[in-house]
Amino acid sequence: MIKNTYDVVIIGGGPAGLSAASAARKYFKDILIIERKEALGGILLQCIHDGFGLTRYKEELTGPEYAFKEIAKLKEDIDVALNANVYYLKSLENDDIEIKFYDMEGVHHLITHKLILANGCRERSNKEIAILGTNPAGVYSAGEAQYLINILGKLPGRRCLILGSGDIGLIMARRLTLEGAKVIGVYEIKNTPSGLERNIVQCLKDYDIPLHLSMSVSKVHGRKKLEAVSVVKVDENMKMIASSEEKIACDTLIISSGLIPMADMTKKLNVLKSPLTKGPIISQNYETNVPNVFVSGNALHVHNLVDDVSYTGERAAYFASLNLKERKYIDVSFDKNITYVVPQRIDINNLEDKIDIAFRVKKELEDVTLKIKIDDVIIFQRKFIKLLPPEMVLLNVKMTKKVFDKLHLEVEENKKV
Amino acid sequence: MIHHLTCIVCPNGCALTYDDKLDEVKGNKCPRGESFAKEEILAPKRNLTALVKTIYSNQPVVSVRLSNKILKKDIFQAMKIIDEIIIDHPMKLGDIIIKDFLNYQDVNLILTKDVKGE
Repeated sequence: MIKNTYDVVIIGGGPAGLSAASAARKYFKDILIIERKEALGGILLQCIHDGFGLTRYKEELTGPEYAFKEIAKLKEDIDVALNANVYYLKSLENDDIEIKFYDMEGVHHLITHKLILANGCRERSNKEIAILGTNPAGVYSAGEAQYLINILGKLPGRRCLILGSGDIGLIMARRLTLEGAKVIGVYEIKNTPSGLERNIVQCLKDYDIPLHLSMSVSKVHGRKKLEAVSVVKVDENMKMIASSEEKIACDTLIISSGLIPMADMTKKLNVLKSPLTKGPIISQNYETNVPNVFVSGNALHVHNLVDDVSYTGERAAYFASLNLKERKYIDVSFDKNITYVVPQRIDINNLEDKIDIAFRVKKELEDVTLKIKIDDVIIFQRKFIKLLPPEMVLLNVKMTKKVFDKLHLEVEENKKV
Repeated sequence: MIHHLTCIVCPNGCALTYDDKLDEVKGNKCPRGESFAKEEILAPKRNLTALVKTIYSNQPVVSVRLSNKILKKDIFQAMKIIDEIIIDHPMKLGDIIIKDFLNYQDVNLILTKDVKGE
C-alpha cells in the first residue's frame, strides 16, 4: 500500500536509488522508491560484463551481481512501487513536494518532505548526432543493442559497425564478437578514445577489432533494412573530409555517442540546469535550487564507476536528513584545464566539515597538481601522474574555513626539476 | 628493451613498462599490476561473462560468468560450450552450472542472476 505522506521519496531504483534508500533507512521512517521498470536494479541488469564493485565491495562483480547486493541491503519496510511512472511533481509553499504517479494499481497522489532524484541518464540519440541518409532498421544505440542481446537474447545483426568509442560501445563490440557477429570496426570522431584504456585493451585489442580515430559515419544506406554506411575522415576541427568517404556494407550500426542526465523529473520542478553537465546545478549538499530536492548518481552527472554512483546516493540521503537553514550560495570557479566541477556552488550557510568535489579535465594532462583554493588560499592539493577526459575524479575535501567568498579549482602542470 | 602494457585489472588502467627479463615492472599503482604484467606476457588470462538460454519465455537468456580467469586462447572454445546450455528449471544467482569448466580445476560456470521460472 502506498501511503499518503513520506519522509523521503526516491525516484529511480537503480544503483543511486538503491544506495540512497538503504542509507535513508538510518535517518527516515517512511521511505518510498518509485521505479519505472518491472524490477529494481536499473541498467545494471543488462550490464552482464564484470568490473563493477572494485572499490565498494573489493571484488570484481558483474552488473546483475552488484545490483543483487544492493537490493539485498534494502530493509523490508521500505515501500517500492514498480512499473511506476511519475507524471506530476510540485514544490509546495512549505517546501514539501507533491507527487503523482501511476502504476498497475492506478494513480497515486502523495506528499513527501524530501525528494531524491536517482533517475539516471539516457543515451544521446542518433538524431542528436545528425547522420544523413535513410532511416532503416538496424540502427541501434549501444544500450538498445545491449538490451536486445543480454535481456532478450537476440543478436541485432551479423556485420556490425560501431560509432563512438564510449565504454558501452567497446563492451558491445566484445559482446557481439563473442556471440558470433563480425564487428567491422569502431569509429571515433575525436582523435582520442572516449572509453577507458582497459576496455580498449580487453574489448578491442583482444579480438583484433580495429579502432579508427578521427573518423565518423557520414551516411546511412538502405531502405527498409540497413545495407551499408559511409565512413569519412575528419580534420582537426572535426569537419568531414568529403574525398575520404568510403562505403562499408553492414547490417547493423551501433551508436555509442555518450550519456546525458535525464531531465524529465528536474524539468517538472523547474530545477536549474548546468550547460556543462546537462544535469542539475547542486550545492555540496547534493541539493538543487528547489529546497528539499536532492540529486544523485547519473541523473546528476555521468559517472565512470557504479561504485561512485552508489556513494552519491548515500551522500544525497545523508544530506536530505539534515535540517538545512536558509540557503546562501557562492559559485565554484575553475580554470581552463577543467571541463566541469560538481557541485557548481557552495551553500555556505549549511557547510559540513567535508565536501565532495567531482571534476573532469578537458584534455589529457600529465604530471599535474590539482589545487583547491578558498579565497586564494590553498586548502587541498593532489598530484596526478595522468588525468584523462574520460576519467572523472571524485574527492572528499576537508573544509578548513567555513566562511569565505570564493572557492576555486585549478589544475597546473608541475614544473620540471 | 622497454615494453609497454596497459593494466586491465581495474579501471585505473595503469600504463605499465617492463624490461626483457621481466624483473622490473613500473607504472603500477598497486601490486596487482606487477602480477598482471607477468601473467599477460607469459600466458594471458581473461574473465568471461556470457549468456545461456533458458526454456522460459519471460527470461529467454540469463547471464553467467566464469568464477576465475581462463587462458585467453580458450575463450572461443568456452563460448561454444556455453552456447549449448539450456536451463530448464529455476536456479539462483551463484549456482554452479558447470563445475571444473574446460577441465580448469578452479573454474566454475556460475549464474549471475536468478532464473525465476514461469
